Amino acid sequence: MCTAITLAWREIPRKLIRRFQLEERVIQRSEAADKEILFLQRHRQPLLPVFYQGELQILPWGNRQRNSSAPLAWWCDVATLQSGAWAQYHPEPVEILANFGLERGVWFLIREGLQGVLIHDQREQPSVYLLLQPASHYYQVMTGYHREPVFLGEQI
Amino acid sequence: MIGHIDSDCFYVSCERVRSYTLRGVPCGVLGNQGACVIAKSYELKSYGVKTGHPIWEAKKLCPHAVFVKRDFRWYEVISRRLLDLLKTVSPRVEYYSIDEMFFDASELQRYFQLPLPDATRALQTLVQDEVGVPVSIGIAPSRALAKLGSDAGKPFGVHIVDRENCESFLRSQPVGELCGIGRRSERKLQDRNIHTCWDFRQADRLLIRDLLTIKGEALWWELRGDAVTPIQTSRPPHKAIARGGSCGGKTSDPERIRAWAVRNIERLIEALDHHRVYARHISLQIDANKTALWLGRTPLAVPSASFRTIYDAVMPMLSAAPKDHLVSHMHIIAENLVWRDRIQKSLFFEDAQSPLDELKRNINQKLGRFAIRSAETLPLHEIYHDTTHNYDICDVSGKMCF
Repeated sequence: MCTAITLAWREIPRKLIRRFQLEERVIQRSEAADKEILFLQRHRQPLLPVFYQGELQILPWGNRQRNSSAPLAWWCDVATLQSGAWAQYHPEPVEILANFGLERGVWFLIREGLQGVLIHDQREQPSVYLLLQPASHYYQVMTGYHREPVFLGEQI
Repeated sequence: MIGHIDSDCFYVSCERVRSYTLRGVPCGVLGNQGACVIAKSYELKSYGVKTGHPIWEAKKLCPHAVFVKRDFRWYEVISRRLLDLLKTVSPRVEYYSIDEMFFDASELQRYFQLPLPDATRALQTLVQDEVGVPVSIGIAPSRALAKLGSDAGKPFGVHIVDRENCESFLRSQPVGELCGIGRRSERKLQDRNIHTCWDFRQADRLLIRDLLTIKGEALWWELRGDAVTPIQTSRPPHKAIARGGSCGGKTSDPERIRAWAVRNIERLIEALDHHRVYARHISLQIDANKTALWLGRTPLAVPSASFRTIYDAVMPMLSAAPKDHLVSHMHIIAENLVWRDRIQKSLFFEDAQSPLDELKRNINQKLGRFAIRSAETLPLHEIYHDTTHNYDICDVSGKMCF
């Protein structure tokens, strides 16, 4: 699955950068390139930048806590969602904002963003899951992985 | 004076026009299969990534590089913008390739009201501002010198080759840098102690003609500042038109091979329609690992651009091709072309195009390429799920070379 995304530093409001201590996650691919904030699945506190309720929010990426009623996962398969298996969690569609994604060591361009679902647990704590679908031929050759994120407004 | 404008890492620059975040990022453009780097930014090049490198090697050399899928339709949009802009500055422009153009630079000074070096810089800035891609420009008395100048100026440079600096410039350029001198020709020249462009220019004209034929001699004149090859504002008629390329990986599956043949026939007919010509011969070339495995040629009874006629010519050739190799590439070539308005109608053969061909063309022009296509191409489902496969570099019309 897509294990990291980045979003341009300039696209994230300063107050969010301060509140979630995102300065620690700043990367720059070259001197001439823009600074980016790295959202890694392996971070101690995995987060995702999400457009939700009309604004950009930084929300937890998936759920690792066993005492939460939300599924213990990072992602959700489109087919699983469509089958209704997650209906009990009342998933809401959200847009994950991203410029680049990482899959098996390959960084790829994301033009608009990724599709995700948001779930609230019994304590009303939100978790965002990346939606995955079977990979296109191109994506599979490029990354060597058989599933790809659901891209907004494009297919790669 | 002749100018040559050459875009710097064109495909990457086009991607940067619409994706600001790619600026300054080591970036590679991948071919349609997603396996090979077909263009790279200067940042990626500095890590040793070369055109043609597979992605698994490129990502090792530069783990933080970003890879983008090619989109020739977008690159053509940018290319046409550059062409249109250049036409406002120059009275004559040659659309040499998608990222290179020759132009008559005689009006440059008057247009910008500046001396030639400043006017050339002004043109470079204008292109950067209006089109959004960085370009290098060479200005010289001939095409070969102008092209050498822009190549030497890369990236984002300007080079004016005139009488004063010509000798020192040509001495600094290896003869292999000349457009039209391949590796074999370079070896031939080096055997005669011709190493630099200046050596080439100073060599005996008849020796060059002996070694490299009349094309080599034309280069020899061009290096002396004689513009023997004029700027061509429109493309001369094609001698042959081919459509084809990779089969999306090696395959021995007869259904897929036939599907690729039919798709290539449909693309070929589209090109024949665009250029208003009919074919008198159809050839089929099948490659395995870039080695020609099979080449067949069939004459048509009458000049044609009919799907049925070309299909009937190709399929027997395909059946006769050897089956014991995996097929990697395929090309279908229309030869001996004739203008559509210059053929004699026949009483005994079917028309050069049927009403069905015309209907298919009209629907596809209205709804998009391959909206109506042969059912025999259905095994290529992965191609039809991905619209970027509908457009290839050879589909960019009007340019002089590939």
